[in-house]
Amino acid sequence: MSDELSPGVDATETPSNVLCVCPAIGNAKNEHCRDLLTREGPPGTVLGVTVASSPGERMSEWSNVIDPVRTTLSFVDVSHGGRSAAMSADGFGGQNGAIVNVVEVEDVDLQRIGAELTTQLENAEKGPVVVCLDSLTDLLQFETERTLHRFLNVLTARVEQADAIAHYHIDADGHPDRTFDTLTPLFDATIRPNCRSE
Amino acid sequence: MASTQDAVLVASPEEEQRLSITSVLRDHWPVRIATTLDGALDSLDDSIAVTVIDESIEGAPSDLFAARLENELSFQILWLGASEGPFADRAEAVLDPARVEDQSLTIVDRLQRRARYDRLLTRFYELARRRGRDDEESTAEGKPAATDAELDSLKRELDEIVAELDDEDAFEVALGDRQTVDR
Repeated sequence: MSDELSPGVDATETPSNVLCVCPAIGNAKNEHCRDLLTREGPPGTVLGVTVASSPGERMSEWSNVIDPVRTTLSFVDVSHGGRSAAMSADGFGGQNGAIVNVVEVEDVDLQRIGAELTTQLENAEKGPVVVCLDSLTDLLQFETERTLHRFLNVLTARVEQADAIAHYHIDADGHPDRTFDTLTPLFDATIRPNCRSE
Repeated sequence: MASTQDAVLVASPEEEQRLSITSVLRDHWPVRIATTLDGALDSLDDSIAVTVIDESIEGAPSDLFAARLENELSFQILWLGASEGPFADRAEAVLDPARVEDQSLTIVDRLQRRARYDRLLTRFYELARRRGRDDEESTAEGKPAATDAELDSLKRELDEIVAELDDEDAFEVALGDRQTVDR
């Protein structure tokens, strides 16, 4: 696993926006997700974006590192033909009575996803504020690389302006090398596994 | 300072209206004038950032929107007329003809920022796509591969501009051209 900083990013600073390139299948993705969530200590606010996954699934993966009573948890959950909104509630039981704010967005509407995320970034009261977007691979099933690139330009800027830190998952096995080369300049750092899954 | 890509095209058949708006704008940006819709369409090129179109102009204003899409131009459209109607809804901004003197500068300035952001987003994506292509591919295309320093500089410029746009403008500009083909 390597952590590459983009040119111009101070190595002593926590990168605001990190591209997390891991195989979608296997433990690496979730291990690195947990590390990225807690880079600056226990997060005060976590904003998740789920597309093919659900808020419940993400919370289950975070159960060892996030205390849902002390951390404000919010999700922008994108429901579409491949997964119903009802499934997004999976795993919410047993979270010690945590209140989780879930905004459902029908279809992959980047304008709406962006508006919801930026509103939540502006309204976050407890820091550190951490964003987890799961995943760019899912969004690329519905949007062109060019559109996603433009969308991420705005989103990464808003994350930095809000003094938040964000990571964006992408399947290491799901795209040609050129896609990674095109997306990488959007981020302050890229985390890659040493090898792709076979 | 004005760049070569921030001209404003004012298309209006009314001389008084043209004079009124150009007198406000010409100290800030290069201004071109068209008195007919055909004249406006003939004037469109990469140097136009904002087109002001008077609702009283003869012809189909939809041609202006179509020309923008077909020619992959990124100018912003300011509808000079009533705030309701199909063309007012499609334009990026609407200016009440009675408010030209006190509002046109503010509105065109905002549209200039949107146009600049759009151009830079396009440039950044094109450079990013070229990143990582080997020398052979770059030579074949006649375009050198982008360096990380170029991309980093452009990203900083983009971040500065987007900080001056509100969320609605920023996402609208970024996502507003999904009908255009990927290049």
